[in-house]
Amino acid sequence: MRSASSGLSSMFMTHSSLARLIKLLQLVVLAVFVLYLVIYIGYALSLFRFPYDYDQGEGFELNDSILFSQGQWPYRSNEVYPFYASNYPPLFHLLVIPLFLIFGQTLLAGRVLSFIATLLIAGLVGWIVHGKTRDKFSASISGLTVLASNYIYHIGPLFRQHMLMVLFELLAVIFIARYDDPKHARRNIFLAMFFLLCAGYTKQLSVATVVAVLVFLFLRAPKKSIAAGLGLAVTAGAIFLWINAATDGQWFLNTITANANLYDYRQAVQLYGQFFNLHFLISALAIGYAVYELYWDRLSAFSVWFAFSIVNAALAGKWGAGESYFATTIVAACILSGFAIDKIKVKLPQKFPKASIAIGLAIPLLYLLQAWGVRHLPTDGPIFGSIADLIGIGRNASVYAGYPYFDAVGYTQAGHLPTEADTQAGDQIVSIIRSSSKVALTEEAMLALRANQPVVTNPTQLLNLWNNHALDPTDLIALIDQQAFGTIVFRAQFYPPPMLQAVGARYQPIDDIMLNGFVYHILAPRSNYGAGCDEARFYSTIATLKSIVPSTGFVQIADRDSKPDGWTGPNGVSEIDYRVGDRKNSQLVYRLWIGPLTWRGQTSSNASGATRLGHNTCFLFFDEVTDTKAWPNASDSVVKTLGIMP
Amino acid sequence: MITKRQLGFSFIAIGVLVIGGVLAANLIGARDAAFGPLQKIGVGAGTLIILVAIPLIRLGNKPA
Repeated sequence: MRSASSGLSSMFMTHSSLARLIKLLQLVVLAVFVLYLVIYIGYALSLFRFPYDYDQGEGFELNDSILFSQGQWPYRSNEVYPFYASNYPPLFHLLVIPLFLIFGQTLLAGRVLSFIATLLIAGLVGWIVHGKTRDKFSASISGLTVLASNYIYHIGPLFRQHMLMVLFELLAVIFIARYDDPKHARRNIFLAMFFLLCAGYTKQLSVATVVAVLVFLFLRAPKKSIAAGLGLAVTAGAIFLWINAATDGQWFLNTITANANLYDYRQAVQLYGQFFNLHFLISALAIGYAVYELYWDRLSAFSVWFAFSIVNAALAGKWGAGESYFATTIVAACILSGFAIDKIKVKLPQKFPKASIAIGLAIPLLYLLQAWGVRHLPTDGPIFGSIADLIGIGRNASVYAGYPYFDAVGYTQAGHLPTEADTQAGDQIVSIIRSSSKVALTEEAMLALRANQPVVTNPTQLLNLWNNHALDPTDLIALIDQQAFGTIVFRAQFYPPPMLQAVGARYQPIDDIMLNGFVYHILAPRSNYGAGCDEARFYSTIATLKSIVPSTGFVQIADRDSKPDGWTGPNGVSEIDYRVGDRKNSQLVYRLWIGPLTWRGQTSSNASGATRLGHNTCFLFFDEVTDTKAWPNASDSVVKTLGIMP
Repeated sequence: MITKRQLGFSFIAIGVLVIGGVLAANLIGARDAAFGPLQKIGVGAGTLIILVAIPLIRLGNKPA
């Protein structure tokens, strides 16, 4: 009896000890994830102090907010000075404006807003999981995992609209999940649609969540889904048409056309691989839980959202896209993984009672592995340097340009802490810009804004439109030809090729300055560039032509490799047309051919077709008038204005 | 309310559309292009959707 009693007691003690061990493990896991929260806050505070672009688009987003605060649309023609337009919807930029009262017109305003959005997302994730599971560990770990994700960490405190979009998406899903609330069903559906509208007008990428929410509602209540979807479509469509009309079509061009970029499936595949590698546990749990609901339960709004978001992440293969396209998936995965843990903790011990202890131990241990999977931290200083040593990363280990920061992602341009030297480097560039009496052209907006100058050009916007054959860079290149900019600052040189060519011809490098791990090339006007008979002058000539044509039409480059109409000879002559009407429906009035002085050709025997006008110091000119009424004395005007000699 | 069976048939329709779209795009849109990795991914995704749908159809009138 004594022996049996002792055995039972020892078994009880073993169980009790194991329960305490599980609790201890859970606390360790939570401590590790809280450490990630501390790292995130430290990173955010570091960015709050850094006044220049950490990520290239930040300054442009600030410029959008400034334009809105001045009552101007940022959706404008990229073909006229200052050659700037935004490619994002307006809500994030509008919400930043009230924060200008606190932080001034600085990056801090948007960075704080985005940072707060991430904290709210994490809190909401924990709240959702706790609401369903009533399990504090699952809820806490699910919320904290959001902020521990490398991707969320990288983009969370940036002046970018992405995390605010995710917050609106999450709110929409939360409300649609309560579509059948006995008291507030209609209100919840309305709020879900409202937050979808907010998400859509924060960033276009949220379209997948719009579909997910409506599909979920359709599964449960098809008529309500159709009615809500129609209401949303009408409202969103009306706003879209209103902005498009108010901006004379620039809204569509800049937010839709300019976002239709080249797609590289290899980039998407690489990012999917990286995503699953980093978030292996939460993605596996989320997929498992979604499959469970699909076959053994009813699909929840969160599972449908997760499924659509993971498919939508394929858009990360677009040029200019990246890890941020997985942010929605990460948040949805954190929620589902919390549900999954609870299901595992409840269901599995019922089926396999002997495995209950093992399951209890496995869950925190797996989360420790997940914490290892997403490891990222500064690697210097007494605390983080020691931690880096302790976990085998090594003090001062670096994945980016010598900054003491380690990330499981490997090489990444985000995540490290900018230094005082970076700020001083930015100030140095700003002082160079200020030293000229002329306006600067800078690839990043903050350099211009900090020099109290207008933001001239949005490089990737120009490049995207150029690649979509929707940009005429003539006037911009004409200004470069005239050396109208006092300083040009390049970083990645994401500009249309002819513009880069023109800069190379008229500007020369005067300095290279390292800032935030990038080399910034500072260029000043070139003093001796010879006759300047090059692409810059070619575009400048077209700009001059544009200044004299009647305002009822437009000038366009019709062909860069042709020959004058009716002439024989080699190609290599450019045809410029003046057409009357609008871009969709126009009529040809006047044709001008511009060729190099060395071009040799023969006119037709009956002298029909183009007429040789003559030459100036750089080019040969030929023309053909097809409608004398629309532009009387066209040839004479061209000869006189372009200084053409026989 | 949509049932598991209806959801399954919807998945099959989507899977067929994905595969059909990939094949059509390959035949019409890019005649000189080979059946490359992107097309294989598309056909694979379509097939996966159809495979996921089959058990759903067998679940009958359970709510989706």
